[in-house]
Amino acid sequence: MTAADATMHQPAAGGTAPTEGNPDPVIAASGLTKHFTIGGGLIASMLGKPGRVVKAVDGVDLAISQGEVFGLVGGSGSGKSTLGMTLVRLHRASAGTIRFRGRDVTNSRGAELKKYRREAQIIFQDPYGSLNPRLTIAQVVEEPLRIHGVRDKAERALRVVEALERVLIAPAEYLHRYPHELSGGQRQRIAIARAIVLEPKFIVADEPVSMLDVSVQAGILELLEKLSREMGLAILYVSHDIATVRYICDRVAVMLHGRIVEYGDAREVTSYPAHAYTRRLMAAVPSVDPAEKRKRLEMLNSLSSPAGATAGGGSEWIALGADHFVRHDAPHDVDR
Amino acid sequence: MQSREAPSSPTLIGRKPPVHLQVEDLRVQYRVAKGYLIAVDRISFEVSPGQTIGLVGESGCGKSTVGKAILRLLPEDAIVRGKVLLDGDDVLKMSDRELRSIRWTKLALVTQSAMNSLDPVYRIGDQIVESIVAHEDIAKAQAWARAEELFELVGISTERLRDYPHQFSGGMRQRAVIAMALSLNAGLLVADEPTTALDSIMQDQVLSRIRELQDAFHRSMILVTHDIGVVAETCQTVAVMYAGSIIEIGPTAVVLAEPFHPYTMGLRNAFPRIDDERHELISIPGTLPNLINPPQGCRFAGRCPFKTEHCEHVAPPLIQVGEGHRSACHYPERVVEFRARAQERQTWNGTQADIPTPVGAL
Repeated sequence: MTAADATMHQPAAGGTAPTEGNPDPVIAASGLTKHFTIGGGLIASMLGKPGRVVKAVDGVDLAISQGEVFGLVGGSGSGKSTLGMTLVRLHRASAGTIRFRGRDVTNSRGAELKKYRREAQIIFQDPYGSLNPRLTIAQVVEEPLRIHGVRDKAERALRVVEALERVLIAPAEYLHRYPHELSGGQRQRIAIARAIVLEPKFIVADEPVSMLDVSVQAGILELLEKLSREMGLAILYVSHDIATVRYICDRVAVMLHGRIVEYGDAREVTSYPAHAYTRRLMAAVPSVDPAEKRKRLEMLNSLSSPAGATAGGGSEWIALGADHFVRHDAPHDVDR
Repeated sequence: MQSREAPSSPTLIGRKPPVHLQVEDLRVQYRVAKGYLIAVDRISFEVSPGQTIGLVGESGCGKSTVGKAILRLLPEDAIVRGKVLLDGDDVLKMSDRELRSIRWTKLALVTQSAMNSLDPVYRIGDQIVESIVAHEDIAKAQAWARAEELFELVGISTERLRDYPHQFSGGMRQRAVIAMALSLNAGLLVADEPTTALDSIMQDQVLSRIRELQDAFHRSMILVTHDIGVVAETCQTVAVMYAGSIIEIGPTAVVLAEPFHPYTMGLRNAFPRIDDERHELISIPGTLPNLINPPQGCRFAGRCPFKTEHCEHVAPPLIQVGEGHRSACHYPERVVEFRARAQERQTWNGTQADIPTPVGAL
């Protein structure tokens, strides 16, 4: 892990990474690991059957700066959602550390944890399932303020209105409506309003557009980018779709079997994907233009193997550019 | 990899002739407190034998309703008018018995949530065999052999037929359901968002399987999706739907490359393009119009950056704009100008604000 630490925690020298000039990331994970044990319950252990350990997240390092949208891409089961949930402490890390603005929050409890939860929020994929159908929009967005002890009613109302304005939902029109009256895109905007109402510093957006119509996806992605810029939010954008990454992410990491296998500048990674799995993700992206797709597949086939590049003195990572790294032991085991 | 050729055994799959479907003036409406909700408004299209057509549009545009109407799967209070001719016979007029005889044998359905329709306590192979035996006079051993063949076709090893659904990943379950839908060799497959629940690599696998099956067996298919990328990769023809109507229809390559309708132009803008570095994502502001007593005139006028007063009063008919290509816009002669302006972000800024369709008012 140490070599990866060195490369991931500091912006690559001479690069144009947005972490440049900001050595203090908002959120930083180091060797972050989340293992689940399957089976191994009381009866199984009495029968002498040990549980099987699933390494959902297996030693991940990453750092996200203020105002940065960081993409985390991978297929189902890659561990990307578990990583996101572990970062906001919805899962307890099995090993490794999470630092939030320099403070170790890996094992925070009680008031300390509540304080962290105020500053680190998560938006889920399903805007149909994540909003309480019995609450009005005003109540949905106000709820976190109540939970976190904003006692003044007028202040709460003001902050709800502000949050709705930030997500471009007209408060007068929507405050007293219920979630079922809204379209998927509008619901996701409400979920975002609820996430930002406490003015957090870090947001995990877990597949925030994959259940939405193509026609409204762009609007949600634009909104996330705008919020990161305006509020200085660090955003972890989790998605299986590498095609959307280029539009909103500064940097991207590709995850496979619980480990990051390639990361760096979003344009670099999507223009010159080095890892076999990244290339598969790229090849799977549909195109509206068959000629463009054919060209992409030819390009991907013509790329040389990154394993041929020089690995620097026992490092896990091969540097392919100022801000582009691929795990050098990685090109195996990509078939699922 | 397994063989991709059409199997030769006559007892197994791939022996029935493909079907011909004609949808004429199909209209689906529901009675609601404030009048009628028109879910599908007089649409017509045709699927020739071996052809795949994509029905594409936003949620609520009526695309899934069309699929369900063809299979007669709409709730009883749906008022369905028009004709759905399957090899000349009107599905809408069939008795329940006739309907049962064509379901699965001539018509089959795969839905987005199909992977959850497998029974968790039976082996997947047994479930496929059961569906074959229920519809055909065939020995179990033969049905099992067919199930093995289908698993090979969808790229799952045949030993896995003895697995239970929970032992499969989501992608495998979806492919197993596709295998099941193909098991009775229906001439027409209606696939409603068959890959939307899958990640991009699995989606790619399922789509290429579907393409291969089509090449091998010349099956007809209606693919219902919101994703124009999926349509571009699998369908010869695309019908773009908006607020219950087809607003543009034609050969997929032509419609997506040279759209005539501003809505199709908008959909194209909103679709992420990994191959074009300069492409900007632009969403289509606004939402679908109210489908209860909908506005007269063009349904898209409220969101269209090019609308005129004429558009607000007169509904544009589908007019011929090219070989097999029709579009419902009053201004086909201004298409070059529209296409240029549609690519600019500010063009779409001035349209209707995000006012919700009051779904709750139904």
